[in-house]
Amino acid sequence: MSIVSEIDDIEETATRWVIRLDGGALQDAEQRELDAWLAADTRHLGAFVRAQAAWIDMDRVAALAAGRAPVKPQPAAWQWQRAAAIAAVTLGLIASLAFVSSRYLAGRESTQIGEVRRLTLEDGSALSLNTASVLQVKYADDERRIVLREGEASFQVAHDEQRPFVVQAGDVSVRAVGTAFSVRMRRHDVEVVVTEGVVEVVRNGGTSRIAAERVKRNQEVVVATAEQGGAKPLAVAALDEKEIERRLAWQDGRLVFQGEALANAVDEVNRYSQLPVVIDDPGLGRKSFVGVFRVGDTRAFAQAAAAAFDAQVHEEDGALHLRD
Amino acid sequence: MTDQTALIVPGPPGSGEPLDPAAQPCRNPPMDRSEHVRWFAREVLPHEADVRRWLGRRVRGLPDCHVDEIVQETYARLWAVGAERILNPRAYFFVTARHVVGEVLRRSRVVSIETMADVEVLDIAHQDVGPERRLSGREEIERVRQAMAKLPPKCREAFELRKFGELSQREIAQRMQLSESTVEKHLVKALRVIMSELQESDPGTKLPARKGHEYRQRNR
Repeated sequence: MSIVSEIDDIEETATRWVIRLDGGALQDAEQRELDAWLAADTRHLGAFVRAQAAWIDMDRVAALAAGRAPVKPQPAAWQWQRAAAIAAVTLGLIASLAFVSSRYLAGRESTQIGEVRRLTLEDGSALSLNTASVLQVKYADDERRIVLREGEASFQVAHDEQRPFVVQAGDVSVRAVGTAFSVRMRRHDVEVVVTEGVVEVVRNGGTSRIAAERVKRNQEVVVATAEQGGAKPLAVAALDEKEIERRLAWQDGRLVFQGEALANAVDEVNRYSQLPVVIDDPGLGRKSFVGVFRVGDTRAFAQAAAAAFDAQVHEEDGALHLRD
Repeated sequence: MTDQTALIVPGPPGSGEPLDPAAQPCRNPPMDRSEHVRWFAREVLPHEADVRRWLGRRVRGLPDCHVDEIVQETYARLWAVGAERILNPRAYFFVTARHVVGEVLRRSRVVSIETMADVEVLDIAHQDVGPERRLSGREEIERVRQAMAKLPPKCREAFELRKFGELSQREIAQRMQLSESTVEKHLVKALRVIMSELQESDPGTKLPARKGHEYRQRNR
């Protein structure tokens, strides 16, 4: 067999497996056959991963087509729309197309404690939703609006000057065109960290509107809620790369501490876990702590802290107590 | 400052190993499999056309160097590394592809590896694909539409029903009055054609070099 037809063969087989999997769960014998094929040659695995990614990616393109086509006719896409319209009528698909678009328009996404999820939006923007967070996707023709109801999310915004991207967190809104940033809602304030480009932060609530503040790459701003902050101006602070990386490590499933007080580290760890860590000894809470942990691995954190400061861990009443 | 500072870097639960990227193969990836595939779709696939174009120039005329094969091998390696450890997928894609070519060339002992200095790869890889270099949604739809136009009618219909109509393969078989295995064959064909169309360089993107050129002209 010549090399070219061998390559072709690999791609054909890889694609067949992808479609087979798309049709339903594999039988045991099929699964074994697939595993054996994948293990036989790294090129098999590579071709399989690639074909799977391409197959999955078509869902995103289809959602794009369904979500946008009815809202905003584009002359350039005329033929496409006509074809889609004919197909929709003849095949009776109108209902399902409408379903796709409304799913995006009213999209509510949430995470459980300890869960971090990555989502792709219809325009190609991506977001990561941190632990115990809720947001709503409200895409319209002239604006891409995300309402953060609880928790924290970070965004990589696809560039689209016609449709600004706005994240609303309580009375604070963060506006971007194409950039990357994260927004975290806390009890008394909203924290915005920008990792790429520029965003505009506005607070509307209460009696005072705080004017737009431009926040640039590697900067953060903390906006107090109207009741808390009154008319205090927004303070923009610079963050170094290390600090940014630390702040956003949760996206990779990590928590990084570089010398914070143990009490603050514990607050952070407890966001991700049903099994909270409690410091029984206030002196312990003030000690400065360094370490890298998997999100949700509270036990490892408690043990590491205990080992570092020569303390003990006791599990009592559904909590991990740290004491000298 | 009398407070203690401890440097502790524990690994995943139960492993007792340090969380060192290099020391930790993808045994316990935080992403599940389907999320990992979606990550590939989002972070790797969009760069394939550029990687192929670069590879095409590198390996043209060299025996034992087939772009398709190098791409397959590269995908397998990226998969093994695990998404959570790849911070810059575009750069990683290029560098990994270069390593694969280097290995093939060393095996075949044909050419000196200097033909592919790291510098050149890094140059390309660091022309980061910012959001503005991604295709707009409309361009993307247009590309897929063009690819779909090359499909035979039944094949295209099956593909449309699956992806745009969100019918299952079984439902498509019933609607089109075909056997499920025929539907499967149509979908295999459709995916192959669309992949080969999309792996060509993106028509809508401009290389930064060209942007610079346009900029200079405007300023003249």
